[in-house]
Amino acid sequence: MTPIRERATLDAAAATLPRPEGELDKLEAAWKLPRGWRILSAVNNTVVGQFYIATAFLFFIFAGILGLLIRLQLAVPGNDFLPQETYNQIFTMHGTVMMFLFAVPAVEAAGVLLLPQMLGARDLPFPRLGAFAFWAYLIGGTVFFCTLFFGTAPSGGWFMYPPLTGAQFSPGVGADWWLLGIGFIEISAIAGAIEIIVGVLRTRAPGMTLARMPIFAWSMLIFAFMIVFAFPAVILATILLELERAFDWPFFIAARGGDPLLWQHLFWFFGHPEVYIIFLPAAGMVSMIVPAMTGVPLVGYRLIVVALIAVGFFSFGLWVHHMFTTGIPTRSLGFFSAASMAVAIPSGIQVFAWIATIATGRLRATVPALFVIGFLLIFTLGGLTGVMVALVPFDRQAHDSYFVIAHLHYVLFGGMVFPLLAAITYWAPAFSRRPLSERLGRWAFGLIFAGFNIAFLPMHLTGLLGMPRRVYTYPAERGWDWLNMVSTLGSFILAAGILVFVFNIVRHFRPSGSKPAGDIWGAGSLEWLPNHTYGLRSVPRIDSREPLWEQPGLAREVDAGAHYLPGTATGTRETIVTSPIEGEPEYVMRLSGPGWAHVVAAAGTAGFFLLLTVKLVVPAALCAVAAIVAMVVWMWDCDPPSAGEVDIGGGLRLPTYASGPNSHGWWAVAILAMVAGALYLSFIFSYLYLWVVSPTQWPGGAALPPLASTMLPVAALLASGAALFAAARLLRRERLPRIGLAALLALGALLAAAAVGLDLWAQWQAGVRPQANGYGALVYGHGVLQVQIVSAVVAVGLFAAARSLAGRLTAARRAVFDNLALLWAYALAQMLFGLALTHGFPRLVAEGLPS
Amino acid sequence: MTKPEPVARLLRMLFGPLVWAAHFLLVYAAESVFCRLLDGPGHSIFVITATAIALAMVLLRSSAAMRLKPAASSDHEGFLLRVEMSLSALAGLGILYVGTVGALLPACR
Ligand code: HEM
Ligand SMILES: [Cu+2]
Repeated sequence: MTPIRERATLDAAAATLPRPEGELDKLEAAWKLPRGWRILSAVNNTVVGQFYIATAFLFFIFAGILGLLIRLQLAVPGNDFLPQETYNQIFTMHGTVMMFLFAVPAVEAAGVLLLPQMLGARDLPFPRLGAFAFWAYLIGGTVFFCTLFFGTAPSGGWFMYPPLTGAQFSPGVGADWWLLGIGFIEISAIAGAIEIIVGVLRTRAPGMTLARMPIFAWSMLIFAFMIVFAFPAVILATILLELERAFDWPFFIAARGGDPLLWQHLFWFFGHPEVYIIFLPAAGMVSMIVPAMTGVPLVGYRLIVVALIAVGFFSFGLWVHHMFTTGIPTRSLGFFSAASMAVAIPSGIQVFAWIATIATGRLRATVPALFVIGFLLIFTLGGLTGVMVALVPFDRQAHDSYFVIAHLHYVLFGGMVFPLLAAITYWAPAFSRRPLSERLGRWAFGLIFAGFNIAFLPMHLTGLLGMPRRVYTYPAERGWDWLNMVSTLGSFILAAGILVFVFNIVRHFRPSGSKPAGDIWGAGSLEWLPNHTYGLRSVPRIDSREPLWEQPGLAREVDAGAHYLPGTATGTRETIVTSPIEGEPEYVMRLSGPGWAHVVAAAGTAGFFLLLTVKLVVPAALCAVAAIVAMVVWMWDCDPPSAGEVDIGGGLRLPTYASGPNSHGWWAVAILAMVAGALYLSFIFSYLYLWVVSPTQWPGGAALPPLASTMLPVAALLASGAALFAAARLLRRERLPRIGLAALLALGALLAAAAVGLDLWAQWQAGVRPQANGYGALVYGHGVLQVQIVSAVVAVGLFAAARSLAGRLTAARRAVFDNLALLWAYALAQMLFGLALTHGFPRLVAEGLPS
Repeated sequence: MTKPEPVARLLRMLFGPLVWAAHFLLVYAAESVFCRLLDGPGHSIFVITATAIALAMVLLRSSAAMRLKPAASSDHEGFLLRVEMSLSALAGLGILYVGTVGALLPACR
């Protein structure tokens, strides 16, 4: 089955030349872009990627304008340009939009745009999911931003600490916008992350082992895994805070057994990794640009991989360094301070590797190179001030002052915006008929570099002189005025630079699917091969890290169709799925083409969340229905039956169908289960945390639902598992009883739902109420999570049942079932564990632990 | 020849950082539990023991990897092994940092 053996007989060319007539036409037809305004229904990664990046850049400009407004207000003491509440909304939106609507989406967009090209795939594995993520983000983000114009934007700072953001102190709708809007955009980010992980691990060119994968792909892989583990924490936090605001469940109200610090833990467990989530892809871009500009391979490739992975891990052990001043015990602070120092080592490794590469070759002073140098200088400075504030005593002085604002802009602007500007300039010729202008680029760089430092360097001093952040004005006699004036002037120089950069794009960027300017830098990675709407004409076998440097003539061969899959083997869009480590071809996967269902689904989901925020329940419900219908339409055709084995050239015959643990769909569901697991773990943390903080509210035996009340839910869960098992047995039969299978699936899924309902009923019967105290809130908060996962099982279960009835679920065509089974098994495990937690833990601690 | 299960192989590569994460979580979470339940040097002893065990695990695993290295069948296998060892080294350093700081500073205050 595995066709690896044939490899030895292949050399450079896999397919015979010349290619038969009509082959190219068929390939082009399969990948044709919709014309005119219908382009909005396109799913090609190049199209969606460019929309995505453009949108992210637009949010950068909007949030940048907010930054300028802030600077205008602070230019002179006692200014009354902006009233206080407006100022609060503006700095909150500036931070929030920069972090959630610009930085994360921008790098995710870069991944969507570049990864398939770089890996030699025709597209990402779930094109419609990627497009869905984009549309959800565009619609949700735009509405979120527009709240500013109605004066209803959130104003509690980008990290939204309660109690300030609780119902008592923020009664308006602003905080809800943040919670639902941002929570929703994070879901879209997770969708993108799943797509990126499966894409990087499973759709690489044959022979591209992990040891030959471009560093950018490595960085995006780790980026995506970090999203999977970090974002659930803040999603949980937003769910809990929204429940508190809407229904008065006191998770964060200290007087009623909650704790505002719980928010800080959850938020920063996400928030610190977040800064590396932003930085790692940027570092990945730099690692691609530096070799291209110096003409030598990256020095220390392996060490950079090590550094990326290490940062990915260490950054999860730092979150409390944002909470040094909250009264946490000294030793705990020590742990986090130590880990904060440790994370500097891998970052340092990367910086030295870049410097070594530059020293080995000869750096050409192109615009991308200039931005990279700017990045190195500014980011290193930001890293140094970072080590300063990681020291607890220093942080006690600098906390919440402009020193921190200076530090965070040095790392974020230096570490992410500079690389992004370098990347846009660098990769533009891969997608545009013309490269960007070097002259304009130099001007832009000069203004941005100078403006940035003039604006932010003085802020270190302003901070050390005691100016707190988030103040809308200040008195003259503090000696802060000239520093602020300089900062404001600098920020406008910076803005002028950005304007020049944008002007450069407008003047010179001309998107082209068929005739981009191409490899003007002499780079070595695959995205510089001739690219079309269908990606590469044929997919070469890779045997080095810089194929374009090592295999001369590759571009010509690839474009002539001399390598794998020179046409379309099944008549539709498709790409080769390879093994995760060695990159050996395993099967050909068919990809979905353009459509509107995912656009409607995105609009519906966005509408649901946004309308819910302003408590328009009925329209919200209608949107939800529209979204669900659209999703069913979208998914219905997603699992086409096998088209038999196909020949992809070079004597390689591959199957066109896969299901179960080796298939891309199963991998996506496995990652989704990790997301759910991370969400649940964050919940367990919250549960234990509130117990540690105020254990007396945990009821003793009598106030708990009787143990016997768990019998029914457990029985329902076991029965549900049995149904799943029986369905799996049925599915193996040649002659499939369709109705029986459908009934088993539907019934089994509903049984799991019943278990959740029965358990919550028992809690209610025992008198536990969510409003009563932190404990009660947790019990029902737990219920919300269980309802969430079980709803997913029910939805997919009914979907699979419908497919069984329609004859689309059979022994051979069973990917939907296999994916469902994974989700289902996970859900059962989480629900059984949940029963043990909510019934067992209170009994355990009531047994006489001192409190 | 059987191919190694790829996911298991990748997890093996991450052994060091995984131990680091477990160690970190354990010593941090243990502080509130120890401080709630008993006075005295309980947590310090715990931190030192946990650190020693974690370091030993990472060391043992790296030496096993070291022995495998010459036999690495392909260049990507060699690559994964070397990444694994460097990660273990960094993780070991991280464990040592956290353990030392933890043991030196006063607990429960
Ligand atoms: C366009 C240039 C920029 C200017 C002029 C600017 C200016 C400022 C200023 C003056 C503040 C402090 C507001 C206050 O505390 O009252 C601030 C806060 C902040 N900025 Fe920027 N900034 C810029 C770009 C960025 C970028 C690129 C990012 C991130 C990618 C960013 C993220 C943040 C964050 C997270 C805060 C904290 C907001 C809060 O306190 O809730 N900024 N910015
Ligand atoms: Cu941090």
